[in-house]
Amino acid sequence: MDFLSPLLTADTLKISVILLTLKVAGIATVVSSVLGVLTAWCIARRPFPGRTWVDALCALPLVLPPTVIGYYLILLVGRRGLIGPWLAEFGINLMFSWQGAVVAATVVVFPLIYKSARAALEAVDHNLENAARTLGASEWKVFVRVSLPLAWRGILAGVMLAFARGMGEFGATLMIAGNLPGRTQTLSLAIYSAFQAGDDAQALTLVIVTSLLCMGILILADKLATSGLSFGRRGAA
Amino acid sequence: MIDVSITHRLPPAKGSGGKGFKLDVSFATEDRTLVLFGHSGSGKTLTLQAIAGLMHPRAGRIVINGATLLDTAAGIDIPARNRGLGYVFQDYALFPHLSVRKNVEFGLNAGRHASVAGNGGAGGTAAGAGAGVGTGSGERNDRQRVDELLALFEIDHVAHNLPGNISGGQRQRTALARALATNPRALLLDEPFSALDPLLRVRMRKEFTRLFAHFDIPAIIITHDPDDVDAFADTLVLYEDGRIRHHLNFRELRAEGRPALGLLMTLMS
Repeated sequence: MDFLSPLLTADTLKISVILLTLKVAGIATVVSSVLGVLTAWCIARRPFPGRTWVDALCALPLVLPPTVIGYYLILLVGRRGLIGPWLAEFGINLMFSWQGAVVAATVVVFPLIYKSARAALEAVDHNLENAARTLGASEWKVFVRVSLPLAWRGILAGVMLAFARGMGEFGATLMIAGNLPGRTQTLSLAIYSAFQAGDDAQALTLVIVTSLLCMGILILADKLATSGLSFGRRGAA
Repeated sequence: MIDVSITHRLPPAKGSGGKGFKLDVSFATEDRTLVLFGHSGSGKTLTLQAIAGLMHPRAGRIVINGATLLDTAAGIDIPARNRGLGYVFQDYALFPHLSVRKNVEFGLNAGRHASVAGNGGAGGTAAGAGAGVGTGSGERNDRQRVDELLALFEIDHVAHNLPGNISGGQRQRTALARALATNPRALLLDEPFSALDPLLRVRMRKEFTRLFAHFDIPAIIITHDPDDVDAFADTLVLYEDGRIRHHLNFRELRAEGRPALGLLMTLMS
């Protein structure tokens, strides 16, 4: 076990990298959760012309190479991009900033939440939603009081997967935010850099940290899904 | 007063090769309880959904107690949430994540009860509840009204249970209490007793008869059980394959005490 001794030192652990990674993945997951669930709700409600196309577009980041997503994002928010100059007027520059990494991760994890939310919302018994309507509930109230609480577990599973995926985001982040130590360098980027530099102790430490964090998330997801924390059991109180 | 006249066409199920389903029905009555009787798939539930506003027929007119809920010729189609109808689903459709009490309360926060107050349905001899069930608005009145409904329907002792943890009869009472809590202009009941075991079915029929009289509320009941016809039908409408085969006043026949079974077998054969 000699090779492990230089690993867990403050120098190799790089707390700031871990914190940045959690921050980027966390914010991206929250933003994507709101957008993904609302989009899934709009699309699951009823068929409309072009629904298949919108659905495919929402799922696209799941199958596109992250570098392609990164490239699209540069075309969108880059300094000479579609809305980049407009954002710059408000002092927002997403290129080579941690906020840019958030945008990249948000887009990459969006399909995971959208897909699971749509499946979960469509699995809710339509009779329950109709019952709420006959009781005078607006469409928004049907969503908040009936559909969402009943779809909660399925959505949560997607959210947890999204967070884990967000932590590991590499390609799109590299394209838009770069690999700036201390500014935009997240775990997976730091691992790549350490490996490239021949710093095996550093790389292995971060690999182990990443693996443990992801294991923790998956176990937490399982705990949440089966515990009384979910909305599904709240009525028993 | 119930006046319904609708036509609708459902496309054939994919891959079935069938020709789809055509609904073309029209009936009217001044009676308090109307029973739609027919085999499964004859269009009864579709009709009930159209009345509730959960299905939008191609053409038609629906008037309940003077309120025009649908008139395609005049471009009127009131959304389900504003129709003021109490719908009791075949499987009750109780919200599984909400307690019995929260289920009954559900419609009260929607702000509808105030507009349909004074329907006259709620006073009277509240058996088991002592006082009449209030029709006013306001949170305190809502609380009181729910308390009274829970007591009247004998579900107050399970008020904090989830629907999954109560008996079939209690579930059905909860569904009816929830529908009545909003003080609807009429009740729509889809096979209300089909999910119960036979003995409980007989008992719940008696209870419902008493409750309908107590609330004095018009009800449309769909069923394929002749015993429901015996218990409830003032007006009887017989469905067959999306059309009305017979439309008859059953009140007098019922008064003679003859079971509907023989009549139904003759008419539906």
